[in-house]
Amino acid sequence: MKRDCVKTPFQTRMARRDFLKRTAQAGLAVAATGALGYFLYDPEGPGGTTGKSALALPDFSVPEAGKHIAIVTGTDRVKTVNAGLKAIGGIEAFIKKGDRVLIKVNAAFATPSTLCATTNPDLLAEVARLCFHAGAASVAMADNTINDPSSCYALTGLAEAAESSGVRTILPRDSLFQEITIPGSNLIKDWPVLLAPLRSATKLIGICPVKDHNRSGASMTMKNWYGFIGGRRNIFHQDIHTFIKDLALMIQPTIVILDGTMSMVSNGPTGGSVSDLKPTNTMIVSTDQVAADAAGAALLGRKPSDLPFIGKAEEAGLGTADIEHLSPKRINIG
Amino acid sequence: MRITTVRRISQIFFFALFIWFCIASTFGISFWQLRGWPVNWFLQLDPLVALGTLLTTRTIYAGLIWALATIALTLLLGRFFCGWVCPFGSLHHFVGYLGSRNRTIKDRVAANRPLGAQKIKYYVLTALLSATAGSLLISLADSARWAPAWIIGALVISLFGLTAASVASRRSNSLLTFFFSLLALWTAAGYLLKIDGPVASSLMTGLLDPIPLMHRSVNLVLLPFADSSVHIASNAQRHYDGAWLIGLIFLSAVFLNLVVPRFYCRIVCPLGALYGVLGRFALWRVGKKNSECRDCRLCDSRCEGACDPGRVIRVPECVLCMNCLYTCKDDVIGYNTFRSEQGEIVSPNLSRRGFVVASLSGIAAIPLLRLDGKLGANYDPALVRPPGSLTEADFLNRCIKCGQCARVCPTNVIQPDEWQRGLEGIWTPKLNFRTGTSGCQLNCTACGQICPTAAIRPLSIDEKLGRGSFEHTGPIRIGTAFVDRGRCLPWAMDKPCIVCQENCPVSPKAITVREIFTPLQTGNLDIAKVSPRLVVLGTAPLRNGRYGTGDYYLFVDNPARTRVRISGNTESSIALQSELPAGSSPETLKKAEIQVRLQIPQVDPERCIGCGICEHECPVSGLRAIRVSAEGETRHKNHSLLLK
Amino acid sequence: MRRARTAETCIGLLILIALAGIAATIYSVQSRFDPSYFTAMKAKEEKAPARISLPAPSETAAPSFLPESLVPMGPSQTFNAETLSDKIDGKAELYLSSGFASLTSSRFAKRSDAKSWLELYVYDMGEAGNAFSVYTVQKRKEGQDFDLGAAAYKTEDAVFFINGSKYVEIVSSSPNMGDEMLALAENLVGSDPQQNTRKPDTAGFFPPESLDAGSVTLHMSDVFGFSELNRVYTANYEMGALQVTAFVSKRENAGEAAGLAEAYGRFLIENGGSEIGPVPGIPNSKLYQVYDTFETVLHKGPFFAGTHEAETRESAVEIASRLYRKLVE
Repeated sequence: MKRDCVKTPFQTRMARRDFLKRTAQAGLAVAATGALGYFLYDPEGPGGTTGKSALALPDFSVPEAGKHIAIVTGTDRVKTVNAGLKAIGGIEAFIKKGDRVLIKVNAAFATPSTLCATTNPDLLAEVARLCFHAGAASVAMADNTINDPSSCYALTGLAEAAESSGVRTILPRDSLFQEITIPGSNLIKDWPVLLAPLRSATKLIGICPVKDHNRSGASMTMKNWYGFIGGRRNIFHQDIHTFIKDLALMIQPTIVILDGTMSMVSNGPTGGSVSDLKPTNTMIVSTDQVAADAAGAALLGRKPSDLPFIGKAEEAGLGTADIEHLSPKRINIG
Repeated sequence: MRITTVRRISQIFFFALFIWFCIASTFGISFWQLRGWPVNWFLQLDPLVALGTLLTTRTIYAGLIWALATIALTLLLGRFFCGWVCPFGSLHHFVGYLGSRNRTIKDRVAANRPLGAQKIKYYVLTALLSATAGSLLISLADSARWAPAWIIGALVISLFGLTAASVASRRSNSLLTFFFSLLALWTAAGYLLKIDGPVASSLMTGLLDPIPLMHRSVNLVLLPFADSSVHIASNAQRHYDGAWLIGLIFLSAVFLNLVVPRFYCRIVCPLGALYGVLGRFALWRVGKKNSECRDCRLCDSRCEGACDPGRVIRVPECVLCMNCLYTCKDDVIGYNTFRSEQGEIVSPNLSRRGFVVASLSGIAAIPLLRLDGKLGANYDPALVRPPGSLTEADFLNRCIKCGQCARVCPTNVIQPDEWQRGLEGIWTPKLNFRTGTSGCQLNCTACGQICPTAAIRPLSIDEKLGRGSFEHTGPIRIGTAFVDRGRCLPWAMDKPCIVCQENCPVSPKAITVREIFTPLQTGNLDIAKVSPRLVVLGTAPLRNGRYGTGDYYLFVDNPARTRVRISGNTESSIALQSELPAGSSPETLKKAEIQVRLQIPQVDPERCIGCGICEHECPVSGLRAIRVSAEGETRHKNHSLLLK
Repeated sequence: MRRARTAETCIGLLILIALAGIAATIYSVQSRFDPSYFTAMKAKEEKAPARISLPAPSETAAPSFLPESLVPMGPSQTFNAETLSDKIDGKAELYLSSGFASLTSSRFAKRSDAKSWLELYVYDMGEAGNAFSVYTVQKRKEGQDFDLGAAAYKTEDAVFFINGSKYVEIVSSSPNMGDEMLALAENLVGSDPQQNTRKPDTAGFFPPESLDAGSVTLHMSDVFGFSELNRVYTANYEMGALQVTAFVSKRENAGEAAGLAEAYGRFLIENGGSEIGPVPGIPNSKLYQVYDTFETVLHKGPFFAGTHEAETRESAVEIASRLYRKLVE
């Protein structure tokens, strides 16, 4: 800046040169340290532990097949589920050759299938058969049951149905769980989730009965994902509606099948007698779990607005509670 | 505003912050407890910790990356850390100031003259860093295994050549010389020594590194001492093995300021030495602005670094206290971009001989310390490390002996080792189940979470307990409990006791009991009269009321081998809880005796995790009848008790 | 002597701002932590064992109450208040709010056909009133009452009864196990030393004329949505096509009954009701209209009683009068 810089004394010029040289040296040293730090940085430490990481589960939905719901009335589950699947585009639209299908059954209680507290074995067998027919490489079923798993599967008749139709039964061992956090969820934070079966599957079908539920009002397709949760999960009963919304956020299924052939209208979710059941003769097949639950609410004589979790899930953008919006296929096969 | 005022504020700030971190290292989530306080921040800022672990492990663990910030600032500014941040330095500064208050200016100037002994800290640094170089050495030697000898030879020769060249170019003692000569020495040693032997690295910097030293002293001595009357930081009095030695070293360092101000910083501190080496390029430096100096030496009167700012300033000694800027009456000294008008000494003037000796003794120290074989078959079973500790060699490569784990441990069971593991292991953490409020808590991983260098890995609860995705690896064991049958009450003395079994927290319990019935010394009873629930003796051999505890039975030696529980006794009669077999008489009870029901404890080594709660609770209060030792610890496969 | 310069002051201020920044950052960092690392302290507090399984499998012997035709399927399990939802999930609330003490469940298979099995649930509710409450609240309309000494009914595939302080459910896997269920129920009542063959003195409160005897229910808490109202018996009356619910609750003393009647009256008014006046012929009584239904509330001695949601004023007054006469007896 100064015009007389030329006249700067020799010493000052030397000092300036020295300063620049030192600046370069210090800069190089800082850069070298930084680079060394960058390459040698080890955030995990020795034998780093598996991280409790935020994790979105795989999205199992098949968007190109569209959003559909079919409500089929009839008493024979095999017939109604076939009609329902056909109405939403046929199972071939969802299950492709080589798919590994995971079926989330409700096997929560070691009660006989006649009580309809658990997924009907015939229905499981039929859906599995259809999946294999559509080219599925494997079909497995999983549920973190509330009672002891092996007796649950055995006593509900699901184990036998699975064996006869080639479905692999996944028992919820501790090693299949992992603590994860679902992004955007209110409650599923660093919580053990039955992750391994979900990770290894390419398609996910939920099959569950329509049930009255003491805490949440009703247990249907969204509540069915509760069986992927581990740990001391009954703590979530304190805020069950938000939790069911979180479950729906966690799982984007391929298809949900809501079995309202016999609905448990009282004393749920365990029931206890066939007299808790009411023949409602309806099978709901949908790609939209919120819509399926909204349709199922009618079978229990309730409006979707009576069940806060439906509203919460709709608000979170997980589906629609307005069934008509999906132009439902209503079929009666008697 | 004077820059010295700002410096004082900064010193007070960091000192207070340091003390706050020590207080807040209490395990818990209240505001004044651990929560998310970055209590390791000073250790993480300490480049000697980062450099030491870098040399031993070739990684920079997580938070230690903060040291880059300190290094960068030091490269630009010089030893700012010593004069502005270091809590240990601030303490010395303050005590030195107190000690010099009543001294004349002449005395103070004399006390702040540079000493030849100030070189010692560079030798200390050289020796400590050389001691960490073993693993580097091993990897160099590893490459020597596949590289032809002539390449290695050429490498060594060229390294020596470079060293010689840099010495010959009259720039001896420069950073480059320092680096080349260290590398040359290490490589040569690695090539000449037999590597598979005990040559290894060990991180010994923590012994003298001021930040770990200060943490150790505050955590393990000063805080428990200050807290002993108020009990804010802990409910129970904290005890630490060997606290006297830690306290003695700390107090010596503090009181030596009365002899030489900042004694520790000027003469001992290896961290200061490292900063001195790093700060040689500093852009701004304290020095004379012009040569109009009356040589009054007043600048020395408050000089903290003993760096001789009035003459040829010793740059590596200057701690940027900035006092000379104000003690100079003529405003000759400034903080400038140019070098001091009267020239400066940029590097510590180490003697080559001293340097080689320090370096070689550092390299040789670790093999020497390990000749005892304690890293191998001669391992000390009484040395139980906290859960998540690495294998002993890796552990010693990382532990800086800061005492943070011992501080945070909620039960006070983690103790600094004294001499059990020799000089190498002094003040490293071990578990002493006789002190503290309990053993190692099942659901606690505080020590691994706080450890700044991952010598104790940060475990998750799942990994510690072998749950969830760690099911296949099983729980972390720190040792195994062994019952001393010669001391155990039921085993050795026929006294009922199941304290260890009751307290075992593992599920299912690792301590099981086996029920046995043993006759008492009283022998067969001389029974005079029998009613269904009462037996009267002909003599009075019993201690009144002794046998009514529910553990004692009257054994009837009939074919059914009946035992009837005793509900109470006098000296000569025994009351029973249920009826004797029908038809019992003094005749049929001739061989009757009192038996005690014992539940003798046994440890299942597959379940025991070595938490030591049994040892802590054992009623044999001296040398416990059940003790945990390191056998079976997870970190060493070859200490395992069982074939898997 | 040197004086501080402007540049020096500026640098000093910058450094102080940096220190303040460090302090602020540290303060904000301290609130971010993972509370799960601090669970060691909590673990000490909750020491209750998660589940108690009695007896161990090897010791499983047929319990004495088991009929010859049944064999045990594995050991029985016991659940406490903390673990109840492990067994019955969301239904646990119902029992927990009614004084639940423990649940023992066991499965038995038919000796002749292992595929037919039943499960026995014995809920220990602490006292007989609680057991009666959970029994009545869950009572299935289709159930057929049958005589078991205590209150009992059966459905196609299940048997429900109370026995002293215990509420018992027997649920079978198939409808062909009726005999086994009944035999098991009888044995249970017969073998239990604390059996209570007396029917709870409930029906005694209600005048028998046109009473639906199966509808007597004991509600333990939050009756009719009113939080202060607990331990209330209700019963239904058929008045032609109309149905009226009557309720009775025995309180500690007359004062409490009177206080409760007044509080309940206020509750009705707060919820949109209006007071019409006393019920003709009944002292200490009031008639309320809530939207288009009628409520009567009265108290007599320690009894607090009335009718609930009657569709006409006449039916409400009629049942209230009968109830009052019964209480006077």
